[in-house]
This record gives sequence, structure tokens and C-alpha cells, in this order.
Amino acid sequence: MAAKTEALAVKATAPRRHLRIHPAFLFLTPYLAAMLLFSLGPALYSLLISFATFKKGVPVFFAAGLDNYITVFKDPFLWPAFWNVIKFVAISVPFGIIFVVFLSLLLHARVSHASNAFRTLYFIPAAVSGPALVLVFLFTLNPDLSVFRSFLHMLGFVDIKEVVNNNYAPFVFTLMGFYVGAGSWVAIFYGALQGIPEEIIEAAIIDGCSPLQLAWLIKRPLIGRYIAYMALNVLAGNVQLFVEPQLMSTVTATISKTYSPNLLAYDYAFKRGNFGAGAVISVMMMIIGVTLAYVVIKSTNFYSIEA
Amino acid sequence: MKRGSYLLANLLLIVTLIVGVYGCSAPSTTDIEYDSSSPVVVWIDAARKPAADKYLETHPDKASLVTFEIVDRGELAAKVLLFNNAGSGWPDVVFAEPSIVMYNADEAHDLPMDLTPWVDSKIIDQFVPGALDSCYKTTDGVKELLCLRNDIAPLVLWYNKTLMDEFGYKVPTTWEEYVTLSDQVAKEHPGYYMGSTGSSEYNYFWPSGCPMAHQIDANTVHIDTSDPKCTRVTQMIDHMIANGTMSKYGQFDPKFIEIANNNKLLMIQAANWFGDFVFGGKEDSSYYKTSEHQLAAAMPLKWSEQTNEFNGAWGGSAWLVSKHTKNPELAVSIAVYMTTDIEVGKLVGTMPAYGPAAEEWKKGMDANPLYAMNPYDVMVAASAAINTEFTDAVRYSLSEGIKPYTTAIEQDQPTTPTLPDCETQLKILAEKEGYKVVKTAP
Repeated sequence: MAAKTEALAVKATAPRRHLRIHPAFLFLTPYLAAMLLFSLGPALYSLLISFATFKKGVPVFFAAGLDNYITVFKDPFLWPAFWNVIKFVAISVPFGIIFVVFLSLLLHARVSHASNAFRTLYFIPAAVSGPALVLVFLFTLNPDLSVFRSFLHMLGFVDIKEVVNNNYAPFVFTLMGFYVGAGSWVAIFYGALQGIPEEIIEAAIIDGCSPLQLAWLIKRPLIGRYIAYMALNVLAGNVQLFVEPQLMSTVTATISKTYSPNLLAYDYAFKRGNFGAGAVISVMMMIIGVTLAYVVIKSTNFYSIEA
Repeated sequence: MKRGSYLLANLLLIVTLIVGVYGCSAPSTTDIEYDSSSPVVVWIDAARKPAADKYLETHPDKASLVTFEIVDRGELAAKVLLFNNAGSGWPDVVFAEPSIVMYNADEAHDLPMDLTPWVDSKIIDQFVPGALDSCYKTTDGVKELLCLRNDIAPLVLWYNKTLMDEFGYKVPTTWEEYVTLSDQVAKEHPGYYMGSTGSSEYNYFWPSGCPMAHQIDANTVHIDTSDPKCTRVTQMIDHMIANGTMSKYGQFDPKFIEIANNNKLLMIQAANWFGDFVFGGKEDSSYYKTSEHQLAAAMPLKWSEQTNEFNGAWGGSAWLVSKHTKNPELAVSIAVYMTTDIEVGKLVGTMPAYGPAAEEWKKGMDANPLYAMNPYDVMVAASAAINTEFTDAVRYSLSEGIKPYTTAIEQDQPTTPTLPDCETQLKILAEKEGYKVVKTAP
């Protein structure tokens, strides 16, 4: 039925095709303007200044040639920065997805007022973000001050530097990310679960599905696309790691001031005045981000229309 | 096909627009026309607010021209780059440490103005000897005065006179005696501390003259941590951490503060401002909650082979004037007022770099019941003994450079084996800042 309507619509407008594009762009204008100003524009500008020199602090376009790229690729801190982010992403993305899916399925197992209350409860930490979040965690993880200090002491920690250091950093950042991010993803997944037609669930129950089977075999595949969407977003967000290591580096000597590529870019641009080299890292991050997005979209048929 | 070209056209438009918007060249910054009625913006920190108010109060004729803004000076370098990019926006006068001044004096930042032609040499001569050393920059034989020191912070050996008398110990004068005493303390009075490892690039490596930041000229630095001047420091620290007289925690770590609170701190080589601001002797002070004439200062320790230059410094700030100021006369006069005015010197509380203001500041300590004796003369002598083979005004971060060493302390490992890694790290950081690194001093 839907396919038929669409076919009719195409047929009706086919002769005046150009008119179809224009109203669409009209509605898209606010979005396109924002994207141009805050996303595509800066990205292209980064690309432009990655070939510029900043000798006197003022850009001289195309004067650097590939010098900035050579500087960055020769930087001994570049690979460690990427390695740190790879470690973090490898831990945080699967951890986040598994627990968010688990929590959402758990909430949806028996829909009641309680599940609504919990959904809100999970969402509350999202109010704390950025530097404030880091400070909250610095207190929480400090065996001298934490509300969980007896637990931390039980694990054998007596000083904050034993908890917050390079070895545990990916786990600490994962916990922080999960703490703020999980709530909103649970809300999204819960909404997706609400969208599953009643009759499918009913049929499954009649066929003898246990709640566990129902969650794993019926509900999980039906929200698969949302999981891909989350993977994409969390991945894109997590490779941008910045404020967490920046603040944590003030606590422990083991976390470097150039812990992540973004911190390295910041170091180049705003500490050393080499905006060109900073832009090179931004361009690299952009290429990585676009590639990852492409892979996720292709491998999950993200934009295909449901039958 | 049609749609494709439409998109392409859009994209081209976007690119053109962006290049058009961003591509406008920034205006040239040379050849400024001076104007004595031009307003002046001064960047200060919150602690400088009373001094700023004092200026406005005592200079009513200038008050309408001068704006004081409280700014985080840690952001100065980043902001200067953006101002350079935009071609406007620079503050005229900035309160900042000499290390920040020097950081902003490179080609990319190019902020501080040479004050030599603007400040009377009679004023410069009256600064405490050695106080202005870290404000001078020499490039190709040309010596420029890029800032005026606000306050100075030489290290002194702070010790608890009451405890030392009680235990019957003599105050050490060399690091060798200090280490010997530490073994004695460990044996006779375990649980008492003689120092902390925090900020060791200032407190231990600098006095020893370990070549980590030995600036030969503006773009050459001597780094060699295999030098005995470095190894003797790490060996001492390893030895004293092991015998329990050196804390592995920093001076401001709650765990170290607790040691001082419990009166288990026998001595510590630290900056001169520790007396008033860290030991304190008041209820809300960090180390000592009461004043019982217990605190005394001795000359900073030296290694027995050292003669004149054996001290380091930790902190102390300065005032710079921007090259871009339109009203240099007024801008310089503010920097001079802030550094040389006697009343302002008393307001801030740390040791003024300007001699006459410092003499006046000295009187404040006479009346302080915290001190067993007035530490002022020690501070002046300590200030003249600063080791010039080390400076905290290099453009790279020393604390980043010695991370292998600080990491070892954090993880209860010996520090001496980390020195080669420190050298590698320091060298990378220095070269990234455009320094030529040499292994031996010329």
C-alpha cells in the first residue's frame, strides 16, 4: 500500500522535478546553515589552514606545503595519543552498548510506573557534564574523600593516584562516559522498545517465549538499528576525548598533557601557536570519524527503509 | 546528473564563502601610533584587585583611561595567538610569571615590549639583586628587559626551631649533611619528615643545577640528565624516601599537610612564601594552626662543591607591557607603580622584588609570632644565590619533561633509573618548542 502511494506521488510530480527540490531545501535551510557554520565550515577551514604557516601568529595560506603534516607525523607523542584513545574506545563502546541494552531490556521487561521512575533516575546524571563531571569523579575515586571509600579501601586503594593513573584511565573514562551518557540512551532504547507492535510480543508469548527469550530473541533484533546509531554516536564522541584527561593530568603525573589526539591538537594550536599542525590532527580525526561512520552505516544498512 | 551538479555547485559556493570569510588577511601590527589619551587594559588576577583599587584611588586623573580585568593568565598564550590572528584585542599590561612572559616572547606570540628605554635605570638598579634576571631575554647579543618583577620567591630552608632544639640537632648547611641528618632522624625519631618530593624541579634539581633547563641562549638549551648534578639529586631522594624522611606526596597533598599539622615536619626546603602563606600559624592556615615562634629560616642547602650559586626559586610574578599598546607611557607607569610602590608591596603580602618596598615589607614579619627570627635577611641572601644554570622560564614544561621521575615516585619505584627517560622526554619537548638541544654546555 505504502509503495503504491509513493509510486503515485513520484508520477504526479515527475514532470516538474526541480520544484520538488526547492521546498525541501527551504525546510532544510536552518539545518544546512548551522551545519555550514559549525560543522562543515570549520572542517573545511581546518583543511585549509593545515597547509598554512603561523610564524607571526597570522596565517599564511598554502605557505607550509606538507610541513605541518610532516611535523605531526614525526611527533613522538602522536602514536601514544592515538593508542590511548583506541584503548579507551575498545573498552567504552562495547561496555556502553552492552549495559545500555541490558538496562533498557530490563526496564521494558515489565512496563510499570517503576520503569518510568527508573528511566528518569538513569537520566539524572546527564545533568552533570564536562569539567563538573570530572570533579565529581575525582571526589568519588579519592579513597580519602569518596562516599565509597570503604569499598575503595577494601580493594586496597589508599591514595587517589592509585586509582586515577594511566593504567586505569580507560576504565575511569569509560565509567564517566557511562555515568552521564547511559541515561539518554536508555530513554532512546526504551522508546524504540515501546514502538515494537503489541501483536509481535503477544505472539511470542503465546508461542512460549520466556521473558529472557523475548528480550534477547525478539526485542533486541528489533532495536538493532538504534544500537548501531548508538555505536556511531558513542564512537564519534569518545574519539574526541579531551576534558577528562586534561583535568585528570593535574592529579597524576602518569596521565600526559597530550593524552589524546584532541589534547595534542590543542597543545599545538593554543600552546605552541602552530594552528596548522593542530589542524592536521583535526583533519585526521575528521577522516577517522567519517570512515567509521561510513563503515557502521554500510555494515548495518542504516538508511535502508523498513519493509 | 542534474542533481549531482547542483550539489557540486552548492559545495563550491560553500568553499568560496568560507575562503572569502576566513581568508581576509589580518591587519599589519607594526607602526603603531602612540596616543597618550588612549585607554589601557590591564590583566590581573584576583589577588591583585586591592592593588588595582589602590591605583585607581591614587591616580584619579588616569582612572577613566585604565580598566583592570581579572583574567586567568594560564590562558594568556592561547589568547595572544587568537589576538595575533585577529590583529586586535591584546591587553596593554599583564600580570604574569616570568615563565609566561618568556613563553609569550617567541616569534608566534611576540607580545612583551622591551622596557629598557621606558623605565628609568635608577628604578631598575634598586630591585633586589638578581630579581630581574628572569625578565631579561638575550637574542643575538641584544639584551631586552621584558618584564618588571612583582615579587620574588627564592627557596630557603624552613625548619621547626622548637623541634630541632628539642632533638638537639644542628641545622644542616649542605645537602650532604642533610642526608646524614636524615639517617639520624630516621633512627632516632622515625615518623618525622625533612621534605617532600612535590615540585622537585624547583626545590631539588634547580639548586643542584641539573641541566634540564640550562638556557644557553634564546633558542639553545643544555639538557643532560646523566650529569652528576642530576644523579646526586635522585640518589638523595631515593635514599630519603627509603629511610622515611622524605614524603612521596607533594607539599599541598592532604597527606603531607597532615604531617605538618601533626607537627612531624622537621624541615623543608621551599619557597620564601611558605612562611606566611603555607605554614601560616593561623587557625585556617595549611601547615601550622598556631603561632609559637616555632618557625625559622636558614640559608638554602648547597652541595659541598658549590660556591656562589646554589639556590632555586619557586614562583614570583612580574608585569609585562604589550608591544601593541597605543599608550606605552601610561602602560609602563602602571607596571612601575605596581612593582615599586611601597603601599602596594604591603598589600599583596609576598616579598616585593623592589628593594625599598621589600625593606618595608620586612617589618611585617617582625611582629609575626610564627617566626623564631625574622627570615628576611636569609631571603635576601638566598635571592642573590640563585643558580643561573637553570631557569623556569624555558618555553617547555619541566613538569611534563620529568614525568618519568614523578611517575616513579607515585608508583614507589626508584627515581635514578628514570633519568634517561626524563632526558628523552625533555629533549622532545624542547625541540618541539624550537630549541636546539645540546648535550654539553659550551
